[in-house]
Amino acid sequence: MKHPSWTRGLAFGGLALLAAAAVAGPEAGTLATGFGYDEQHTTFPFAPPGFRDVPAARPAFDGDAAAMALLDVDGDGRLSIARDASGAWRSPDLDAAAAAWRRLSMALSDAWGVAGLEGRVPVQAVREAAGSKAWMAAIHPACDGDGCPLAGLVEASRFLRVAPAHLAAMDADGDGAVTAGEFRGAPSTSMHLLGTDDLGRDTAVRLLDGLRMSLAVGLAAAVAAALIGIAWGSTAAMAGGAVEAGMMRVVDVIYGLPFLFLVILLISLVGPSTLNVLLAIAGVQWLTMARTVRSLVKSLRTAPFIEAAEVMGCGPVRLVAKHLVPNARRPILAWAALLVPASIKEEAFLSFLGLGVQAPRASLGTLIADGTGRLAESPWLVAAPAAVLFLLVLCITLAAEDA
Amino acid sequence: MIRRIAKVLASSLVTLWAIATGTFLLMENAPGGPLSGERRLEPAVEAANLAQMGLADLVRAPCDGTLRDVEVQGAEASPDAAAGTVDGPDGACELRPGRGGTVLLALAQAGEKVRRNQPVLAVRPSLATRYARMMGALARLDLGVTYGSRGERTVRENLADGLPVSMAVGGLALAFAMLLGVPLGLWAATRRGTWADRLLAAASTAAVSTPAIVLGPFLMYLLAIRFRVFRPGGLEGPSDLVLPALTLGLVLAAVFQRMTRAGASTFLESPVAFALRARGLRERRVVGIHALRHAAIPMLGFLPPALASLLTGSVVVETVFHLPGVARYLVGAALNRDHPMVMGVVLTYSVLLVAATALADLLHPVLDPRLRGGRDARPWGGE
Repeated sequence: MKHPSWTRGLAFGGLALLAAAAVAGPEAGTLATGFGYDEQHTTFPFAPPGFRDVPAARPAFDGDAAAMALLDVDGDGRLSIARDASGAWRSPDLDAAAAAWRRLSMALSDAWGVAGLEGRVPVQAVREAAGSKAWMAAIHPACDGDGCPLAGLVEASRFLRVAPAHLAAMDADGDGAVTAGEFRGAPSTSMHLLGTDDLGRDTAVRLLDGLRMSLAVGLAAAVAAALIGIAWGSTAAMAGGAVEAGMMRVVDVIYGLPFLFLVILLISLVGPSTLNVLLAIAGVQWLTMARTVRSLVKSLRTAPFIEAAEVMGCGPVRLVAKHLVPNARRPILAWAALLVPASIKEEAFLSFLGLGVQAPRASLGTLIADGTGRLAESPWLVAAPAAVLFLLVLCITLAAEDA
Repeated sequence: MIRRIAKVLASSLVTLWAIATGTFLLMENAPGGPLSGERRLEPAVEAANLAQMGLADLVRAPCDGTLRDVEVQGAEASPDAAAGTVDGPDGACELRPGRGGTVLLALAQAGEKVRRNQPVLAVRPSLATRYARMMGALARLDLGVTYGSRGERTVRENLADGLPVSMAVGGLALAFAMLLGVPLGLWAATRRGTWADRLLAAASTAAVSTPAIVLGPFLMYLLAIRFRVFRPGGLEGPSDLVLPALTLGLVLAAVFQRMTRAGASTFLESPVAFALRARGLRERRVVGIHALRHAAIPMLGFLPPALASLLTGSVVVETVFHLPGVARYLVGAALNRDHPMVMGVVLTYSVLLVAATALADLLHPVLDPRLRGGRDARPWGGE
C-alpha cells in the first residue's frame, strides 16, 4: 500500500508520542497531577473535564486572607496547630471544619448526582452539618428556599483543603497558631483534565494506564504470535512431504474459523485475565506468519548460499536460525508489524466484552466499555479512550504498511 | 463440475469434523468444570446438577430404601419423568435417566432424598462414549443444554432467539458495505491519481483502522444522542438496525472500496480494456461490466474473511446497541464457563464460514474463466 509521504511523518510522530505516553504516562501523570490511577480522588463521580476538587501535589496559596473565616469554626481568630505523638501536625480547628465538611459530603454528592454542578443542597442539611450559625453563614453565600447552590459550596470547600502541614508552613512566628495576618489562603487544586469516572477516579491517569496496558498486550501478543508462526512455518518448510502438508492443513483449518470466537472459547475455558488474553490472541494470530515464513523459507532453500551452508555441515536448526530466517527478516518484520494493530484491536474487543483485562487494571477496551452506559451524560468517558485507540491503531497500521 | 462440488463438500466436512473434535478436546481438558468457582455443594446436589447439565448419565448413591419411594415433581405432567430406574447392586442405588429430558428432574429430586453427607457419585461416561455421543448429537444438530440455565434451555433455543437479529444486522451491514464500497471503488479506479482518489484512499485507511468499539459509540452519540435521528439502543423496529449496520458496514465498505479500486484499475490499464475500447464499447460498459467482473474475483476470495469480520463485529455492535442477538448469550456464557453455549456459537459460526469458503470456491470458476480449464480458458491481462 502506497501512502503520501506526509502520512509517514504523521504515523511515526504519532507513534512516538503514544509510545512515550504509554511508557512514562501513568507515573508522569501521577507526579504532575497528584492523582493515582486506581485511587478515588473526589466525592463527585462523573465530574466533567476541567473539574477542580483536590489539592495539588505541590500547592500554591491564593492569598485570600478573608477566607480564614471559613476554617475558623469556633470564631476565635486563631487556627491552632501542634505536633501529635507521632510528630505529625494536627489542628483542632481544621479537624472541626473537616468533620463538618464530611457530614455535608453525602448531601453534596446527592445534589451532584441530580444535576451536576447546578445542583442545590437542602438548607437543612447544610445547617445540620455546620453546627454553628456564624460558620454556616460563611460557607454558604447564597442560600434560598430551594437550598444552597452546590457550586458555591464546592468553591468554599477549597479552603477546607488546607492541611495541618500547610498551616505549619504559614505559621511565621512559630507560636503554634495561624492568625489572620499569617494566613495565606487556600491551596491551589489540581484539575481533572479529562474529568472523573464512576468512582471519582481521574480519567486522564486511567487513560494513560490503559494505553500502556493495551500497547503492552498488543506488542507481547504480536511477538509471541510471530515466534510461534516462525517456528511452525520454518519447521514445516524444513520437514517437507507429509509432515509439511499436515502442518499446513492445520493452519488452513484454523484459518477457516471465526478467529475471535475461538479466542472467546479459549478464554471461557481458562477464565479471563490479562495473561490469558495475551496467550489466546497469540494462539490464533500466528497463522499468516506461519504461511509467510514457510513460503519464504521454501523459496530460500534452493539459494546457493544455503546449499553451501548445508555442504559445510550446517544442521537444520542452525540453518533456520542463522541463515534462513535472518535472510528473510525484512518481509517477516513487515508481517510482524501488521500483527501489532490487529492484536491491539482484538485485546480492546475482548476487554470491551469483559473477557480481557480485569478491574482494577484498565485497558482502552475496558475504559470504553465503562463509559458507554453514560454516553449521553458523560461523553468524555468514551471519547478519550476511543480517540486514543483509533490513533494508536491508525499510526501503527500506517507505520507498518510503510515499513 | 460435480466432481468439483464433491471435492469441496468433502473438504468442508473434514474441516468441520476437525473443528468439532478440536473444541471437544479443548472442553474436555478445560481446568475447572461448570460448577467450579461456586461454593462447595452438597454431593447429592452436585451430582444432580451434573446430571441436569447432561454431563453424567448415571448417579450412584448408597441406597437405604428411600430412593424407591421418590416422589417426582411433575410426574403426572409427563410420565417419562418418573422413568429414572432404580436398582441396587451391592446396596447402591443407580439412577439412570429415561428418555425424556424431564427425567433429570427426577434425578434432582432423588439427589436431595439421599442421606446427607453420603458419597453420591455422578458417573460420567467414558471419553470415547462422550465423544461418540457428542458427534451423534451434532449430526442431529443438537448442541446440548446450557449450563447457565441448569439444563432448562438448550443451546439451540438460545441460538434460535439470537441468530435472526445477528443475521439481520450482518446482512444489512454487508449490503451497505457493497452498495457503498463497490461503486466508490469503481469511481476511484476511473479517476486514478486525482484528489478524489487520494481522498477516498485516506478515508478508507482511516475507516479500516477504526475498531467497532470506537465507531459504535461515536455514531450513537452523534446520530442518537446529539441529533435524535435514531434511538440509542434496544430493538423495537427495523430503524433500530440502521446504526448497528452502519457501524459494522463502514469498515467493510472501506475494504471493498480498496479491493474494487485495485482490481478495476489493473484491468482498466490492461490490453484487454484497450481492446474493448477499440471495439467501440462505451466506457460505461467497460467499467460497469468488465472491470467490475474482473474486480469481483479477488473479492470472492475475501468473502469468508468478510463474513468472519461481520460475525465478530456483530458481537461488539450488539453489545453497544443493546440488541438481543447472539452476543447477549455468548458473552455471559463465556464469563460463566457455560461451555456448551460458547461451543454452540463457535460451531454454528464455523459452519457458516466453512459454507462461505465452499461457496467462494465453487463460484470462483464461474467468474474467472481461466480456472475452468479446457477450451473455455481465455486468459486476460492484469494480475
